Amino acid sequence: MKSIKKEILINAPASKVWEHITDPAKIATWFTPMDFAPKVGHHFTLNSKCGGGLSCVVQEVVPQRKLVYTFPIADFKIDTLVTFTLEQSGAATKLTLLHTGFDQLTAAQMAEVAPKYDGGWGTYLPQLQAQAAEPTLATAKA
Amino acid sequence: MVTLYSSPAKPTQLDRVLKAVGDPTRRQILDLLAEQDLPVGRIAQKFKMSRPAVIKHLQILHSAKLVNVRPDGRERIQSLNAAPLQAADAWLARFESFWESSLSKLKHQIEHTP
Repeated sequence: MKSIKKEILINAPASKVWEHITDPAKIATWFTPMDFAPKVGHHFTLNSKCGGGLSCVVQEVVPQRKLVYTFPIADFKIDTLVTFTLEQSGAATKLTLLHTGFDQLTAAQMAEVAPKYDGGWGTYLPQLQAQAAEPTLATAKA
Repeated sequence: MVTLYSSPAKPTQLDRVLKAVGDPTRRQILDLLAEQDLPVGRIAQKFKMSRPAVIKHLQILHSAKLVNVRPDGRERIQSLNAAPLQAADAWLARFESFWESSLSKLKHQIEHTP
């Protein structure tokens, strides 16, 4: 899995969904506070729990259809891309979120920083331990 | 969970994995073995490293159970065991669940506010 794709159907016109992904006051209600503006080249800071402020840059703006911005992975000093695509059909809008750019990282690199994003070892430590104990299950996905 | 930290004298399996992936050369070896199984000699060639130096890195990877060995004639073939690296998937999965919960909040926000 080198990219993340999520689709969600929202019972609202694309104009309303667009407002919610571009108006800072509305973004704060579902995402995180950030000084966003839907203008290509606009720099904004996204507040993250684990990495403090993340510096993002707007890459593409097609009103009510497409929004792209960079999303830095601080540990590796790389930028990933977040793309929102809106498609209205009837009274509903399909929102597709695509988070790409992880292919710049190797599995080993990701494993190295995984714990930081976990706020501790809690979640996957038991997994690691189980794998260590049961080498025959090595290829089974957790 | 706490008990894991109370016996510093003996490294845990996790300690071994972290030590193994903490070194850039060993991460490169893992990436190489992700593509194909290789005998020690071929790994040494790729890194322009002495055979003993490669063997030392491999020993650390073996003890972390990240690399398996099987004999093939006079060669010892090294292969990746990616299971301990599923922590990497866990890392991406976190982003995934982050987006999932954010988008469902977005949907709720839009559909339930005037």
